[in-house]
Amino acid sequence: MSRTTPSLRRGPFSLTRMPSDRLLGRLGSYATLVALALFCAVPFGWLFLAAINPRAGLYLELPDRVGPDNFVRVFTRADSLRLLTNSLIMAGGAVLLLLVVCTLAGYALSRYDFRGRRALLFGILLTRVIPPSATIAPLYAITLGLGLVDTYQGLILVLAAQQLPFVLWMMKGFFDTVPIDLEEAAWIDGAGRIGTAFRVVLPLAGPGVAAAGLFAFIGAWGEFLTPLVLVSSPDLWPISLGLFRAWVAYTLVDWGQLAAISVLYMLPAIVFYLLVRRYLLRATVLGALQGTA
Amino acid sequence: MHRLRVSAAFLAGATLILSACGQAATPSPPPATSTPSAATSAPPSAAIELTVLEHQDPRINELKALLPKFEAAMKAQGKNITVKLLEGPAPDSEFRTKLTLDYNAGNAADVTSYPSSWVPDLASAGFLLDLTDRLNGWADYQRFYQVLREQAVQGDGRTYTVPREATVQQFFYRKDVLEANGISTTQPQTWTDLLDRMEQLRPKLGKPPILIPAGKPWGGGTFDEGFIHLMLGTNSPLYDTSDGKWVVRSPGLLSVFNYYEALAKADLLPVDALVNPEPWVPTKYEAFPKGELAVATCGTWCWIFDWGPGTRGEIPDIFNKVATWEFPTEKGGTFVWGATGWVWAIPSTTKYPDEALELVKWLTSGEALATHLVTIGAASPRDDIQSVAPYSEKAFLIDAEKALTRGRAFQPRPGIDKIQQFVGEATEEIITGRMTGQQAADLFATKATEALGSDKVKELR
Amino acid sequence: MIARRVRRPRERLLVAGLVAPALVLLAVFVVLPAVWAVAISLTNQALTGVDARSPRFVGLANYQRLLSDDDFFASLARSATFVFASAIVGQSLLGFLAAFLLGDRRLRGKGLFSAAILLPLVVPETVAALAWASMTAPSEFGTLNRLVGLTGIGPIRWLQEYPMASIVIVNIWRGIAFAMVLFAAALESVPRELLEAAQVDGASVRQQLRHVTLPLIKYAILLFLLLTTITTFGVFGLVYFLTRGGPAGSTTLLTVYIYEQSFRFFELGFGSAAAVVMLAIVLGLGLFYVRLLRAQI
Repeated sequence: MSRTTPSLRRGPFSLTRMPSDRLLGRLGSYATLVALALFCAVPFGWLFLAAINPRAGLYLELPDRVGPDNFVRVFTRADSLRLLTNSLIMAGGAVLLLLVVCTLAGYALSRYDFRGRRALLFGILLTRVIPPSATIAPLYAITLGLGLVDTYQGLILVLAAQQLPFVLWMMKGFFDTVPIDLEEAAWIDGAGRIGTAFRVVLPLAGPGVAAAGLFAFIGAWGEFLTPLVLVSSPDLWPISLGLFRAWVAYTLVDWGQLAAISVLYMLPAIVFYLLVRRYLLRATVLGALQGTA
Repeated sequence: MHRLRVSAAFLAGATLILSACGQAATPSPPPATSTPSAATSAPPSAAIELTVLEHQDPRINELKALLPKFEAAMKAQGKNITVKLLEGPAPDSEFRTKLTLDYNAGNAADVTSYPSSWVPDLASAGFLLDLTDRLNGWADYQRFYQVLREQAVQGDGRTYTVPREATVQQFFYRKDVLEANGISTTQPQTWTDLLDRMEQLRPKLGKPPILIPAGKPWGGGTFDEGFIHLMLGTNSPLYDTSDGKWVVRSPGLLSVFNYYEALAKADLLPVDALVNPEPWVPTKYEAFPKGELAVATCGTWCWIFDWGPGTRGEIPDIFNKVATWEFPTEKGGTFVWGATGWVWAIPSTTKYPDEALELVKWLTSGEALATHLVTIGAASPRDDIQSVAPYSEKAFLIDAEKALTRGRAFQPRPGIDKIQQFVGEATEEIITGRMTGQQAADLFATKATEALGSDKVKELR
Repeated sequence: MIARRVRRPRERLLVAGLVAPALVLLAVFVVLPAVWAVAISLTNQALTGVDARSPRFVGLANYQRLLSDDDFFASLARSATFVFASAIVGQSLLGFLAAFLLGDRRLRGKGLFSAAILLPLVVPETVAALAWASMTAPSEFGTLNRLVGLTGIGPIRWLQEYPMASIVIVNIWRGIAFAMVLFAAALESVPRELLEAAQVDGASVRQQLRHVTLPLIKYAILLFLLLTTITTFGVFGLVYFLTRGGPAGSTTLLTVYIYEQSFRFFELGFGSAAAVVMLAIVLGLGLFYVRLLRAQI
């Protein structure tokens, strides 16, 4: 990212120089960071406490009794269990589809040059800035025309398409890091070009490909607007819709169960983030966080 | 220069892709394609599963109890019909979105129920099954009140729905509060009469005394439970049936908006509540039961639904504390609102039109209807169940039913949505003091003309 | 450059075959809707009413109506306020602060701090909204009301009384990490020698920031501002979940306006006209962003 000369030492620096300043400055730093961290973390307090409180309400309170009752209900009640499986099917399906089409396209865009390739690449990246919230009406009209409204297939295709520019760019980047010499060696041995790509390149780019998949999963997993418009049957609701419907019904809400579902809902996102943290910067620059930011 | 090139390339790429995908309409098949609840195709045996979409808890619970009885009744006739109840989202606006999207997708439930004001747009879009001939062949249909049957006829002369209940609306007032403050409880004859009494009550109550829904947050209710009761009290039509045009500017409209202005200027309306979400909660559910609000427009359902035993706004001993006035008019004379509340409808895409209608007929007859009317507190849409329990036990509902013959109503027409929306906007401008009645009338006329098209509106001097 | 020029027709076919599935998917469900928005905006297409059955070409009528619709301009202004207050001011300042403080190599507990700050960004937006629904709960038991209750102020109906401020704060909360990630990388790239040299010259922390650090990372700042403007402009779920555009339309951002026109009033044509205006804005910003990025990648 930097334009400075690489010979210079970089990296962490010290904020302060004088010993007296230092103590004050560091105290100030810690105080500020603690305040920031609290601001960020406190809203989650209710979710976690309510999830383990068998008699939870909408308000932050310490449970009289701690128990897994809410989670048990999530997994034993058909409707809440179905929310979980629907989200898994939709986000999982979108990621599988993306891995296939983006591996193919990413490989081609990395290995072959052709007229307009660069423009195509940046054109693809540009589509990332189109907010789904702006194009949702025509998107509905199109999926309706294709007969894909209120189906798993429709939602999987749309969710995949929304994550595609970013995944494709990530993939191309990872393929770029695998030296072509390795492939050439295999061709000389008589292997076909595509076969080589899969046997030689994919394993080397594997971790990166997986990271792109995980980012895409997080994006599709959390999507709210698309299912809100494209899915109608409660049988097909993903978790995001289930949460919204329950919240809107308001008076009839089982808050403990809602909190438990929310905790289950955020866990994969958190775990996957931990796994792909080192790609976070690149993903951010490519707009992986759109719709979540 | 760079930017130009990128955009040119982008556009070129886009057009290329678009023309390519024109030929390949359906993209590659998705990996996971198991649809569990695929459309039920009739198996060789005569077993049929109907779907019913319902929202709002009392109605859902009622159907949960009634539907097994219907299945049993059908079994007794040798028909193997089961009914699957689908629950829609609770708030009307969310439900309406789901319903409309379902109709568009062609996967609407076989039988659905919703307010009659939604019907014109849905019928004119071609979503609903034309029931005209089928209803003509049903002797019982003649027992429905004529005023309701007339309202069910759409602009094209066809009938697409069956009334589920009749709505009778009037002013409900706190008799105890008015009497305690020395305000007359006789029937007010004119708007001025009502305004005077409320102005007398205002300082004694210390709070805005009257609720006539206004503003955007109340949604369609601003029109259905407020504005239209004033509009019908003028001599101006809102819709001209002879040429099918909305009257978006008229002396009557101006009077109505001016009346809102007069109410707002005298601080008689609970404006804070009206401009916030769920405006009915602090007013109907809280202030009226507490006696801090003295008059509110309401329908028969309020006796049970809003203030009856076990509700959150319960008024103990309600029949001694609450009474009703008919609506006064601008120049004198009174009337009640009498109209179809919710209706039953069947989508034109249904696979089982006859079985679906069979269910609707069963639900709008005899004990099923009587149970329903009591559950939601509505008057009967037909004249032959006054002796059927549990409806027979509710004198206040039967009284209201009898008033149907001297009711006035406004029949929703295509474009009603937009009219409702602009009434909400115009009245909100007035009650918040941003506009006078005249300015709001101008705003309404401008917006309605723009949205409906100048060929669908007219102005009366 | 690892890519090789495609010359033989067979190779050309192969490349087209490899790229096609991805492009078709993108074209149908991302590009086509944007193009289609323009087409629909010239019709009176609707999801209900007579217009649903027989949509007509109406020329620029929808745009004319848009121009005279105060609600549209109000929603546009709200979106601008929302972007400016939450993204450009809030996220940038707090994100920079976090990145700057966490850049101190002697700081302990770095992992914990950055994890806490990342959490709001990582979770699905519906969970984030639900968490704030509890925070802003109107009764005296709501978390925020308990906090302000300590000072004797009491209970505030946050989403009703301060709706815009509430959603701005929620969006700042959600996006601090977004800014932090980008700024941390930028700060990381500032050569330590330059800062040390400045220290030796007696520059204060503020002077170091102003004369050394900021000029070096101004490119990263611009990148972030563009990116966050684009994404914040598109925010829908977080706000819609909490307020559904209310009370009385006071949180109806442009995205909510588009959704309501399309799916509450069912006027796809009119809603699409508003969408086209929004698309023009974000694509303009997006072109600028991609051009900046192009210089980098």
